[in-house]
Amino acid sequence: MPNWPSERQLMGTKVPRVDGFKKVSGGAKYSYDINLPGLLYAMILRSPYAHCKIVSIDLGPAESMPGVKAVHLIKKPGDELHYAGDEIAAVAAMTEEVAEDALRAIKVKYQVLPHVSSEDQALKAGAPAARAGSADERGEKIEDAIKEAAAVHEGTYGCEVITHVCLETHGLVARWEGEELTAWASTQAVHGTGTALAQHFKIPKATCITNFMGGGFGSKFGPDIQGIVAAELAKKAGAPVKLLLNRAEEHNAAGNRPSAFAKVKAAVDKTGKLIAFDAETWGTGGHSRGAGFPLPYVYPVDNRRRKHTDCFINAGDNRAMRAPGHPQGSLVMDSLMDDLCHKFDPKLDPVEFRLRNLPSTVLRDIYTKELLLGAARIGWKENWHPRGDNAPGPWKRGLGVALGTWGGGPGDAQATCTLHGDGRVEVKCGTQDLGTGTTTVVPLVAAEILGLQIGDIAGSIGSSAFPPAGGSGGSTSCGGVSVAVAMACTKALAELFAKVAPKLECKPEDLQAEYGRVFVTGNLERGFTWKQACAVLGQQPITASADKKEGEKGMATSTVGGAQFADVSVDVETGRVRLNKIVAVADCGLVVNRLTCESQVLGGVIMGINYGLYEQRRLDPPTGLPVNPDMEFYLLAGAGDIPEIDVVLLDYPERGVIGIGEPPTIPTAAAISNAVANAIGVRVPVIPLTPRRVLEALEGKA
Amino acid sequence: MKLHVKTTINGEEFEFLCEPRESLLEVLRDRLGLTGSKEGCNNGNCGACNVILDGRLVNSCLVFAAEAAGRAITTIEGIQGPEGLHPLQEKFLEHAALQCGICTPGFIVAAKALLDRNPDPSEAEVRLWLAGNLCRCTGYDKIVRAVLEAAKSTAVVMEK
Ligand code: FES
Ligand code: FES
Repeated sequence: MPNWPSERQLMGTKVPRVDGFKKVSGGAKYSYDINLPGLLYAMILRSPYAHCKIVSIDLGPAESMPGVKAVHLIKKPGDELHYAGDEIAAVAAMTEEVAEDALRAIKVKYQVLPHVSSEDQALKAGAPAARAGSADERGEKIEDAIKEAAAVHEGTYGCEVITHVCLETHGLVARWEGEELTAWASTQAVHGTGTALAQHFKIPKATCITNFMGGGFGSKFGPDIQGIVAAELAKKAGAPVKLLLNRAEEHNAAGNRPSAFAKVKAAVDKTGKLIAFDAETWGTGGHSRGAGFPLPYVYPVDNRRRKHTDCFINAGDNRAMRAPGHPQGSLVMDSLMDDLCHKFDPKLDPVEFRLRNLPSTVLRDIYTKELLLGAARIGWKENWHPRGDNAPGPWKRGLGVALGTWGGGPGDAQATCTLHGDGRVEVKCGTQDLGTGTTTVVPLVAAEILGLQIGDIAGSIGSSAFPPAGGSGGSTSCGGVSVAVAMACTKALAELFAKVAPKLECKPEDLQAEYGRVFVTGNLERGFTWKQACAVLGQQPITASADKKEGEKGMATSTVGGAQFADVSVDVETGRVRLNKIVAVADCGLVVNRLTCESQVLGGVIMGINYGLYEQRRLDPPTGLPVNPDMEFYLLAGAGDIPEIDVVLLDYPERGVIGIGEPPTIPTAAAISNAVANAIGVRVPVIPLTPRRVLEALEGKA
Repeated sequence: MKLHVKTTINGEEFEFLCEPRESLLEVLRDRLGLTGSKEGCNNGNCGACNVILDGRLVNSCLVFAAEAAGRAITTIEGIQGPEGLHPLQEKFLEHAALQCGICTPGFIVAAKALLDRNPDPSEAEVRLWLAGNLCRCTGYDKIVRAVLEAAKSTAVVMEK
């Protein structure tokens, strides 16, 4: 069975990004930076109301405006607009300014309809927008178990809607050359976007290129409306068109993480083991999408019941966002676990309580290790105290812990490896780099297999012209891509060995490639330099293709678990939460690039800090209009809000490669919420933990 | 109406025509091909568009292009010296202080403006100075470290 080399030169070391030079010098070209001759700028007219119907629309004044080259209708009279920001029409013009003027010139008559802008409104009897979701019941003895329990806790927990806020907004540049469409798109899926565009226009092929992209976090998997519209406008105008959303559009129309609320009753037996779980949950994922999230989460319980309701409101729809559903599940479940532990025995250590309730899966050992390691790093033994810090003064300090889990596994990927007679190596894979570091993973893995240095490999990704690979979501790219690249290189190398073996009078299987040489195993001298070896190819390069399926068993894995700890101080006079330290223990399997792996964990943790303390999409109830679709009133942490973050990569090379994009963002907010409860003695039930919410909890109003 | 503007960018003389309402960021990116400065918000909240204007750090999305007349601008494209990368750029690479990299030009320009006026900043000063820059991939930890290291290495060069 194929596997990774047992002694690795490069994998697991710290490798600076191969495309870093371009990024630090301003030379990296993102979709937004593509300027083509004759380029037009496009903009979208959007609904100014939370809910309305188009009565009539007149594009004429825009069409006749000088500098306007194409106008495209997205909705027609009679169509309903479901949220403030819903698309109506689009224009392409010579400059952004003219496009903006043209949007203003379009005459639309609206019939304003009643709107629903909060979960509470949607849940009210008679509201048309709420819909009962799923119900799930397992085990028969919930009521009995609760009756016989050693402790029962009932609580309500919640998380607000947040948005992705990719620093590069959604959009693309579209260019037609005859029937051929090329799109430079900010996307997490070059193949998926190319295919979707080709299907829409019924053409054999559309090429999607993404050399650099400014983040996606789950929200950028296809061309979207704005991508299709840009291509339509480009076709009509006979010129390339650039359409990237502005910041407000990005907040309102480009996806979000649904809210999640839960009213839970749960019980433990006299050993402190979870025996019953009864939850009612709800949330909103926009006007047409659900708000599901996993619950119970991480900790197993046999007797359980859950009723979930999706609340439809007049807001933009959700999209996958970094570990969809899991941060919500973690916040609810780990807050509940802490409250339950406190109810059961206020002196019981919450780490010990969690150890008693771990699942009996492969993750049991991993969680155990992580909990013990993380507790030592945060100073749990020395500093943990039962709920409520009794220290004098307004600042109260507390510690908290939470767990997360994720599936992952190797995503679809194919790759080719070409060895040239002059020693050049080309590796191609139709994956993309969202900022995660995939561009560096490709040459790193190839160099490992071929015994070369990273600089010896020309790796190419970021185009649908390269071998197909799946979208970068679910933390599956690193696993899939590294296995596909490794297999393609292994095959190419085998072909090279077959050609070189006769020259060394040995069998191909006796050969080995390492240290930039191809030699007979055990005798470095009996061989060639890489260049000499490749010279046997002359003008006939070798190209080998591989699918990740050819090697995945043991080379990449799914099912991961992570633990995080938070040390916080809370000012009980102002309600301000200050973070002292976060410890993140990440289950990383075989680390590919230690430098970017750490960055992923740091980024995930900071996103979790934002989730726990700052972010919240706000709608104005009377009008249903978004209040903070910007970066000023939609709060995000800056460099000054970040504490010391201690990243511990739990190496488990025998588990194979594990994608790390999502797991580290899951438990952060829950760990912070638990630390705050530990500091101030009461639970602040809903995140973000704003000063106001902290004060309300202290006053017993929450 | 178009305005005729003469300005200096990264030590080179530039002339361009622009509308009165065009921002400096727009002109840099769309008219002059200097796409290293990025647009994250277009209203002064993210710092991705940072440039140095006559020695002062500004958000180029909030400066009218016409205001550049007769002044000197440094953009990310001009941070690098003739001998190669600026220590800030080197340390950003070395410390992996970038992920998607779209906030990176803004952070580097901001940090350059800081080191120009305060070559030996404390960690708190760095964090405060960079408060106007947002990173959604959230590499803050490594960014702060990279700036501090760069300050150290430029100090060593100056001593030599
Ligand atoms: S684009 Fe200028 S501050 Fe954000
Ligand atoms: S590296 Fe992506 S926003 Fe900073």
